[in-house]
Amino acid sequence: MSANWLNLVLGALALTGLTFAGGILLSFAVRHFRVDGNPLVDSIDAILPQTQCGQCGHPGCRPYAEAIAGGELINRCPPGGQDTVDRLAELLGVDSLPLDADPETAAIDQVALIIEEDCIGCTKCIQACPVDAILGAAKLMHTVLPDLCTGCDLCIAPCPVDCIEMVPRTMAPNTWTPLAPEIISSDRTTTGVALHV
Amino acid sequence: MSECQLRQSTHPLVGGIHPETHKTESLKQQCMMLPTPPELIFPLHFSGGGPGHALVSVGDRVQQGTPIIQTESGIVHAASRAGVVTAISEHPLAHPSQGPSVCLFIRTDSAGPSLTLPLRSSWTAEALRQRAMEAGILGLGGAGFPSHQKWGDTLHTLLINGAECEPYLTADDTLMQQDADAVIQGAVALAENLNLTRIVIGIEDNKPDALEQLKKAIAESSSSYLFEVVVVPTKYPSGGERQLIWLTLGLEIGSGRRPVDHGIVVHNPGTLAALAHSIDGNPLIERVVTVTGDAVPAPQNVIVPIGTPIRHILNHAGVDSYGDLQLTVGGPLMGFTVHATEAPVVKTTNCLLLRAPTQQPIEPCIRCGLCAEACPVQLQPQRLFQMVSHGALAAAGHEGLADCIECAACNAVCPSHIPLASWFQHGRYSLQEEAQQTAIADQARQRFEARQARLTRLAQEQEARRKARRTQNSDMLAKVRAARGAKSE
Repeated sequence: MSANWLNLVLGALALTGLTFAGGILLSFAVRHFRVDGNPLVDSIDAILPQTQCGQCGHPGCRPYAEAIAGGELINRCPPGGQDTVDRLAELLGVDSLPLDADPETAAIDQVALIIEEDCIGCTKCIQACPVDAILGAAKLMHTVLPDLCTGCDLCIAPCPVDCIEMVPRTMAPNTWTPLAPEIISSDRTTTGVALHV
Repeated sequence: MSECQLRQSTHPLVGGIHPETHKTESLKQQCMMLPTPPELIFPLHFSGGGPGHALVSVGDRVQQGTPIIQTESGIVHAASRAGVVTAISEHPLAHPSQGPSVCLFIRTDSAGPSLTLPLRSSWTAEALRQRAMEAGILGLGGAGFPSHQKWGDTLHTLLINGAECEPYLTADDTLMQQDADAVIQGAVALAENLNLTRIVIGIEDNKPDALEQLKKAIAESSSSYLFEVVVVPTKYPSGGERQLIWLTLGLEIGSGRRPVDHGIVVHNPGTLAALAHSIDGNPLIERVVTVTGDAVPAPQNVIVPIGTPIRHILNHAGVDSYGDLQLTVGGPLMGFTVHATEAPVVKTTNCLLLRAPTQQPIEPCIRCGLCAEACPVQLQPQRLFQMVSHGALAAAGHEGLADCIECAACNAVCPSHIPLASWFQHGRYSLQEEAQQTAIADQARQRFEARQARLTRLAQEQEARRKARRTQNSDMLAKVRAARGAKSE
């Protein structure tokens, strides 16, 4: 009789101990393995083209990535083009949408060019550049560093003398990428992305 | 009194194929100097060494050896014959992209005195690098990598790549037969100045005459180096850089590493001969080119001034009409088709191959696995093909796409005639392009975030200053009020 009681008490104590141990482990895990921020935002941000142009209605690519994670439409990025929309759709597991922009102007690799003889040195474009790609000082000529320019065209509007123009990015003259060879029709997929390997 | 130690390779090549060699045709005739063509053409951006700019302008007179193109890598290309610069304009290229690209045209005339580089009594590693740049020396084996960029301070072994394993090609063979002394001199000069301890020559067993000449040149050389001559069995692609290192030295160069990381520098014999000639003051302005193929009446090797239009060389070899023939620059496996015969020879042009086109219909992959057996890098070409052709580049990258040497052994064995190597080349370039785009985007992200952080910090600092000012002012006001209160009391 007393042995039964003893077993009951011991069992209750053991379970209580286990619960406490589990609780301590959990509280440790919460503190030390917590993920800061939303990892989904990072994945979305990695797909966006980082032009920081604000054409999506958000002040930069990361804010748009946060908005997409919160449910915003994925087709608002003209510099990324349809390709970016498709990749976002694949990442988020949603249907792809047609790009919400004029396809003629979307996804063109361009850079800003300051017509230097017209520049009055007002520094307004320097303040507008989201990636600090314009060099210059007050009342002295400014210039765009083309390697750093993302082609966002945010510097065009603030210029009081209209001396900034968007030009196609010039590639090194010996850049060359071989085209894909011709493929037999039976091996071509209809969607273009899905692959079972 | 150099010594020569001859041995057979004991490390067999993994994979590889035995294609018909077709080498004897072009070796029947003595190698001759091509008569100077009426016009020479030099691509500004595709002559080797990266994008370049012209050092002369239209109307200028140039001598043989006058520097005409300065490239980004520091390499200077010289005029191969005397003449007048007639134009700088677009022209088709002997390049897989086919061009057109900006070229410099020289109308040749009667040869005046040629311009030479200054002679030196003693050489250092730095002087040698400088000389290679001003003499316009780059890898003559095919890739055209600027030679001086390989000459680091941590090297210990020079490997001379005399394998020339690709069918039809006999340009290196010819050069080793005719100019073996220069090859050995160049090797010794490089080894002495870079403090190399070992010189190894790798040569395929189908070049007994070249081997004989090399042995003779080594015996006549006055240096104290021991030349290890390793004869490798004829098998394609034993002349691949990594393949030859394995065959001769028994060393595997890991994925993502280069031979120079292991202290080994590999050079084509032509490059070393060019180095020896540059030490004598002559810039690199000529090279041996094999003209061969079933459609060439007189297959042969010719010494060609750089910049000669391909058409001129083919005419010299007896070709007068092209019809439906296919012109390949380079060997049948790694070469590329060129459509314009007016394109010029550049320093990496080793072979002109004119044949009837052998286009066979491409069939679906039947998963036979022959390509995997032929692959010298032990990749799985059939899997890579599936991935690349479906756009799964990242997956192909994980499967070792970047390790593909594009030897096209897989093409040669494929019963479905799939151009596997072209797919891999396309995939490799696309992967590189993607990586570049990612790097640019990452940079923009970092700069954007740094700017945001800076603006926030500046705003906070301004706010803090304002607050401090306000407190100070209100303190002063309080004092004034207190003083006024005291007065009125």
